[in-house]
Amino acid sequence: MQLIIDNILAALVYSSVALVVISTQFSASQTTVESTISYMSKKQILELGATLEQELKLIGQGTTNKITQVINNADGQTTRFTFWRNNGVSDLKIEFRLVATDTIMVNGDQVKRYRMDRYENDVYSGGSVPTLRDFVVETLDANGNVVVPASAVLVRARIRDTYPLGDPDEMHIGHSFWGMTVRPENI
Amino acid sequence: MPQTMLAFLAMTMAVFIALNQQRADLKTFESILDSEYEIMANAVALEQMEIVAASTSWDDLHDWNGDVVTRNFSFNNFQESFDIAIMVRFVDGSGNPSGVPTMTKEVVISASNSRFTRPLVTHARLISE
Repeated sequence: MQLIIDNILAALVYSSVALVVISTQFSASQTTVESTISYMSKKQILELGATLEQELKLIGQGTTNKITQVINNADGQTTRFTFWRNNGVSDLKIEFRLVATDTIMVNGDQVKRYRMDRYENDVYSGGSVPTLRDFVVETLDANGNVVVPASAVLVRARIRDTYPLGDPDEMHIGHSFWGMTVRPENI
Repeated sequence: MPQTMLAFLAMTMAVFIALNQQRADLKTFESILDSEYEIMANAVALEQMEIVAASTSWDDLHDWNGDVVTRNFSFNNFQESFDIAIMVRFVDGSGNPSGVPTMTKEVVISASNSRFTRPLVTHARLISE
């Protein structure tokens, strides 16, 4: 009888320890995956931001045309931002267009995602990752108030990338932010 | 008795490993959150720096000294507020703070958030007359 009890206890201890170790390993690998996803999102958004910053600083360079169009949708996102600059040969019309890509469901809520496309003289010339949640470009006066492009002194850009994390039934959303305000010399 | 001790040791080890993993997970999550707040703080601090530089002549820069303003990093359904502390001081040719007026002023802007006890970012810019 004692032997049977010993065996049952040994099995119980073994299964308890095994369960804890397995769940710990599973949790560790899930954390690694989530932090990798977060890192990649941040890397992409920082690269996009750096490119955007360089681009915005050149608004109006070498031309009398400046910012010609800022269109926002009902959610406050900038769906079209158009400006001009000269590339040393001719004037270039640069346009950022926000395009809806997909909608993901997170805990019953719909999250719309977008892609920012860049056009040069109406010809597609690259774009962002298709996972942006927000893309906002605003023209500001010297005191930081939003004004029409003709009165702008500063240009503010803000981006939010988004990525789902966790199990499908317990999903949550992660965000990567980026923002910059520049004062283009030729605006 | 030895079996009991071994079983106890095994379970203690398992619990210790699990707790350690939980702590590491929490630390990872906190560092991701910290970096996002630092990015947002950086954006609002640089915005304030551009506003100071664009709206104020060199002579009037000292009017900003000691000011604390609130700036938001916001989207349609998201908003985070940051307190921006501004300091303006004279610096010498080497960039060191000077007790007497010089030809160069340094604008120092720090952004902080109520979640954190320390300033998240600090930017400084030298502006000459």
